[in-house]
Amino acid sequence: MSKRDFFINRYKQLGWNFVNIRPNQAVRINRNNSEPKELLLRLKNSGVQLEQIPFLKNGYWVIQSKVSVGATAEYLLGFYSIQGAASQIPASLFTKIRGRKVLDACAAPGGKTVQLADLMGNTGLIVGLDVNKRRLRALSNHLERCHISNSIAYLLDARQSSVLNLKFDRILIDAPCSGNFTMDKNWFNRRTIKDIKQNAKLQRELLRNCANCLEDHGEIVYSTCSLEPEENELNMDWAVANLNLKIEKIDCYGEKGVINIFGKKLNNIVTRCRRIWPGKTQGFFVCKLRKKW
Amino acid sequence: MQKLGSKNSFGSENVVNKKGKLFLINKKLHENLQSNFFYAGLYLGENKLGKFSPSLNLLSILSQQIANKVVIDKKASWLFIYGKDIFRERILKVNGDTKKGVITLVLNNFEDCLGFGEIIFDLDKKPNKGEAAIKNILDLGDFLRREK
Ligand SMILES: C[S@@+](CC[C@H](N)C(=O)[O-])C[C@H]1O[C@@H](n2cnc3c(N)ncnc32)[C@H](O)[C@@H]1O
Repeated sequence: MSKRDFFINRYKQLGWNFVNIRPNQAVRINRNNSEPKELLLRLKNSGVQLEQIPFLKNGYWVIQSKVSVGATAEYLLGFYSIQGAASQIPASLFTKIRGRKVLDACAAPGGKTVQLADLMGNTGLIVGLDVNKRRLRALSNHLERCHISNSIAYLLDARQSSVLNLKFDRILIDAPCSGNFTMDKNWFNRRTIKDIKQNAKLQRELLRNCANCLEDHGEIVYSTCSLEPEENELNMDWAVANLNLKIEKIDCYGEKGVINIFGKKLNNIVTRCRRIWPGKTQGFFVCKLRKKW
Repeated sequence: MQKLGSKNSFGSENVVNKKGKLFLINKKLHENLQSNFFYAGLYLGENKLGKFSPSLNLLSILSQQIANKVVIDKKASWLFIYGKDIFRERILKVNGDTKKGVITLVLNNFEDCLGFGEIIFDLDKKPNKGEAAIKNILDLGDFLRREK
């Protein structure tokens, strides 16, 4: 069996028939910096046509564009960010985020940090961490371009986040993961179960360490752009069994988390996660956890 | 900032200097800031060899206050963010000092700040055809050039 068939067969067992897709380009309007109605008109006059994404508050599909949406004055002014539709979901799942202390554990290049800051109206505090300096530079540029003023970024491994001596009300773990075939033509050839398992191990370490920095009643949103259950449902099943966390109900785009994984039966509560198979958007997984008290 | 005709000043207690890079930090950030930060608050610009280079954030703040400003038309705006200079006939409005050698903010016709430049030809005089009036010093396209 080819590597490609191996993975496609796994997806089938999880309930999805493989289709090779290219996700539509999407943007997210930064509401702190611009009014959607005005911006849509300005962009239309420059040859960029956007259409609201039904399941996102500030997300828009790029329907047509005569210019690169990453080079317009409006983009450079921070009026909008280019951000995949599915990746706009995680930050939107936090409740009452204004004025809070938020950790963005794996923050670079900052798509979600900027979204969090926008949702917070630049109030409170966001601490963004990443281990990659080059990507942190991209994060800094992103924060600067979008006039973000409530964030601090550190070059720091999130597994060491306790050195910050801070407790957070909200934590986003947009974990480093194996990705998926929609973003990498060579994905099936490059990926092995071994590196998926390695990523899963790192993700559990991130979950454990971040959970230690979470305030009582605090929320964690965990997300990956991987389709592999080892990095998703199996990690969430492990988290509820081993960390002082429970999975919250969420109401967002996507299908229920899978609880029958290649013959292994997981805790029913894992169905509360959302799995997004590639379609209009790229593949994604998201889960909201709350600290038990 | 004075060179741009601005009277703005930030309280020094709110500005943190990290290896010449200046960041405007509010109280909440200050309370939680550790010295090894990579980026914090609003980036204001960099002091290098005694010369201050303002950030696009800072220019944007100044553009909402009294300062030397020119408003340019759509075509010139497009060219300006690609690093080009500005011709006199493309300037729609002038605020503040108009003399050669003056530093001025450059705004598009929505009055968004696109960057700043130096007046290289008195704006109240009729220029020779094809001669630029404002030399580009920094424009928004810098965000794209940095990533390359
Ligand atoms: C999926 S990307 C994050 C994307 C980002 N949240 C965004 O929306 O733009 C994962 C990031 O995690 C970073 N990373 C990997 N290991 C890490 C660790 N131990 N601690 C913190 N960040 C880490 C990677 O460098 C990468 O930038």
